[in-house]
Amino acid sequence: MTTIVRMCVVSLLVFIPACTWAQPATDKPLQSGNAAVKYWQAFAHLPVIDERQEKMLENWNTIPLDAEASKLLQSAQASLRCMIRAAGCTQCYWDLEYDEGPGLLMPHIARCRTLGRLAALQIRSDFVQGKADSGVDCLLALIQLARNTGRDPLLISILVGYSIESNAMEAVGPYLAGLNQAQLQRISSRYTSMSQMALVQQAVFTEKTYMNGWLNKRLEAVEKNKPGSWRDVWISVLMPVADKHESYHDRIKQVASYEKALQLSTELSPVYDQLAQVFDLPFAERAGRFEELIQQARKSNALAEALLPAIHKVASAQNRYQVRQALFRAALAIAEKGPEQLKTVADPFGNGPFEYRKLPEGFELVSKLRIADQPVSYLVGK
Amino acid sequence: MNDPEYTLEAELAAWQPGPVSPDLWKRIGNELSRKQLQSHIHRLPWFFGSAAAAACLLLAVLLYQKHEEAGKRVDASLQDLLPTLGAYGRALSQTPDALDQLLDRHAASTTIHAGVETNQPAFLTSSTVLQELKGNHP
Repeated sequence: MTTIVRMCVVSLLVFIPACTWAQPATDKPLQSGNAAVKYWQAFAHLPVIDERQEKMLENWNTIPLDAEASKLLQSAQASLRCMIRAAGCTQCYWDLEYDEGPGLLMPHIARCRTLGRLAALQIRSDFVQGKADSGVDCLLALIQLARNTGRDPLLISILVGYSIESNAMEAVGPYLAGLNQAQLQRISSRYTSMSQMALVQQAVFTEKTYMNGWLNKRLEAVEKNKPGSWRDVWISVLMPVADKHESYHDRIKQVASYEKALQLSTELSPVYDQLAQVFDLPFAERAGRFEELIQQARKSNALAEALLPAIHKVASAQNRYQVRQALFRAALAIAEKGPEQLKTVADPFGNGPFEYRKLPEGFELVSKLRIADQPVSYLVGK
Repeated sequence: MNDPEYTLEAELAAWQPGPVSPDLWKRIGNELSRKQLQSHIHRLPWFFGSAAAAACLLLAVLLYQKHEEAGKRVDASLQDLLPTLGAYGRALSQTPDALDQLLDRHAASTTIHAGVETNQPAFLTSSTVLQELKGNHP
């Protein structure tokens, strides 16, 4: 009996602390939620906009901040407030159904972009009206939205994330030199501590697993269930491409058996690895490698056109984004502590710091990276 | 041979059929060919009916196959209406603007369905709240 009592006491002593440790950390109630849930609340409150307002949002960086812009922003206040609350969350989980393959729904992407444009317009409006603290709140929330949009290792998510963060930098640029020390410090400390988006290299592996891998599994599964059904899957994957390129019809018809379809799908798999390996090369050696690999695959494999991502475009966007991030960090340091801070941030595509150009009311930083023969630069002030 | 059985046999033998006249053969021949023709004529509707049914069946199969293929094409083009990974990936592979246009299209469809109430100001202004408190709400 004594032994049983002792065993119970020992079990309780082990069990109680275990339960305590297993409890979720709820000591930070404002930080513990899933940002995605709050973003969806923001989406639910997105204003109904007409075509004219749609155009306004598209040109959020150049439209006059008049009564019409004010009306549009007024209708978006509930949405923007939810976005700012979401920025307080430590995690963001969009809960996407990766197993759907090419049919994976991403209903949040276009909404994130719309919300981002509204927020960028709000930042402009806040700074113009002298509400710098509100502008900084919205700026930080917008950058967090960008990072959360690009958190999933999917090329499209990452691209939209880049676009949103670029909007944030562009929105604050003209006003950055006019912010006080506390506001600048707040931005720089949050900016450096924010979680990053997924890497493009990771996204290539996701595409391999959930686009190419999905097709392999799907072909096998349907064929096992009903012989001949592989063709339905084959057509459903390739038809969207064939609809845009008539010449592609013959390439679809040439694949006459399940074995051939499966072989083509399997043969495409190593191409993803080769594409990912190009990212390991120094920047100067990457030029043309992505295009070369994709063209090569397209010639020999009918599936390449439909499945292989336009990685060269994403890689180019990644380069721009890396430079813009560095430009923004350098601009923050210079605005906070003066031009001598230029040397603290290196140009990712040069051999030293960015080029610094003093302007009457601010400065401009210029990178060695050139896109379409134009250097990537960041204008601070006017 | 007074056996009655023999007599019966003899009578029976006397009843053997005589030879068929050529005229009878001719009449029988005529009758048979007429019936054969009639039978062919009667079968004609069945023949044409079966052929028509087979043609219909063949047409139906062909149409079904075409419809199925068209259905798959429609399904494929409908895929771009949904915000899927595949649709965005294809847009990205096209012109630089294609992805933006697709996102615009999806954004427009989401804001149109966002609900009428969101068109209202997000927060009540203080004056509106005061009017309500004073009981002056219309």
